Amino acid sequence: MATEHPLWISYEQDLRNLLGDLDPGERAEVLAGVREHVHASLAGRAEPGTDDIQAVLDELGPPEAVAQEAYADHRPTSGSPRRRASSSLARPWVPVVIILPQMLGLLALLLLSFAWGAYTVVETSGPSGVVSRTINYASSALPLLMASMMSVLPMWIPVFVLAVISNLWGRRHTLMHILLLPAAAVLLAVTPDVAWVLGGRAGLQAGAWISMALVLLGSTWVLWHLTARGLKRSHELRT
Amino acid sequence: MVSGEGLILTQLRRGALEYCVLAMLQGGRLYGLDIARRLAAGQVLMSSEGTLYPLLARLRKAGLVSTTWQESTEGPPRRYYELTGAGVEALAAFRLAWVPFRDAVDAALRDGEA
Repeated sequence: MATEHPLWISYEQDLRNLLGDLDPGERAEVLAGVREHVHASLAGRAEPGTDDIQAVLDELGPPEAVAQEAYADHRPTSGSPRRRASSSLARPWVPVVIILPQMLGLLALLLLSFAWGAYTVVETSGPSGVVSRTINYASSALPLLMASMMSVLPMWIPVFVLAVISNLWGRRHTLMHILLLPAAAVLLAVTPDVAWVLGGRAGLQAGAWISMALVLLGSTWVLWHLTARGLKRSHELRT
Repeated sequence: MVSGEGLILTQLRRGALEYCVLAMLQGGRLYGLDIARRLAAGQVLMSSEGTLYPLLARLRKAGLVSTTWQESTEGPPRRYYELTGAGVEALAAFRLAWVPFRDAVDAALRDGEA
């Protein structure tokens, strides 16, 4: 099936992302039209090869050209006042500036999580000289989560405003920007409880490091991806 | 002001291409691929076939074309586009405006050469 070929899947995904700001009905109609075009072009071929699919995609033209035509009716000169206002937030500085509060917020979350006391060790000497050791862990997920949310709120507000107003990102990528800090806060706050239940003291330490590594690597990848997407879209809107 | 053949064509297509689509549907309903192939022939009216689909979506939204589905022996059902009454009127209005516009442009170009 042509629609299961990686070339087509990649093309369709790119087009879907580029059409992210369109009305959902219009976006679905454009995507369905392009999909039917591919089906009809390859009709009669039981197993279309990579060359066949590439030839059809070449005739369709780059996803950017299709998206540019789709937004032709939504340009600032004919668009609504909201879109006119948002076009000023489609410049290349927006995807760069928005990652500053994101990075500050992530740094605050990591420091807070690192400094948060997790467990206590109580050693008791009995009359026979035997030392018994008890490890106490009290769940700190809720207070840590609340402290995290409060500390990143000043950074999260500009992220929310820029991501929502700017038309550089579609709905999915806007949500990724908005949910990055809250998701990192939840992960850092909840993982110790889960790790304690699963692996005791050793699990707690491993869980803490793993959650911090996940937040660090995951957020780096998400921010890189969102910044690249925003810069690309900004360039397309200006040409 | 634009320069370069590609940019000039892009500007000229805007505003005229959708009426070319309407004109192609005068003879009866067609499906997307068929319209795209006719428009892309010669690479003058359309260079990327995919750009037809946002245009068709706009025409349908404006009530100038309507769509119907028909089973195909060669694959999934196909969506056929046909002119509505409003589409016929829009095309007639474009013809009235286009002919004197084209003549005026031709005359201006001829005068410039003289």
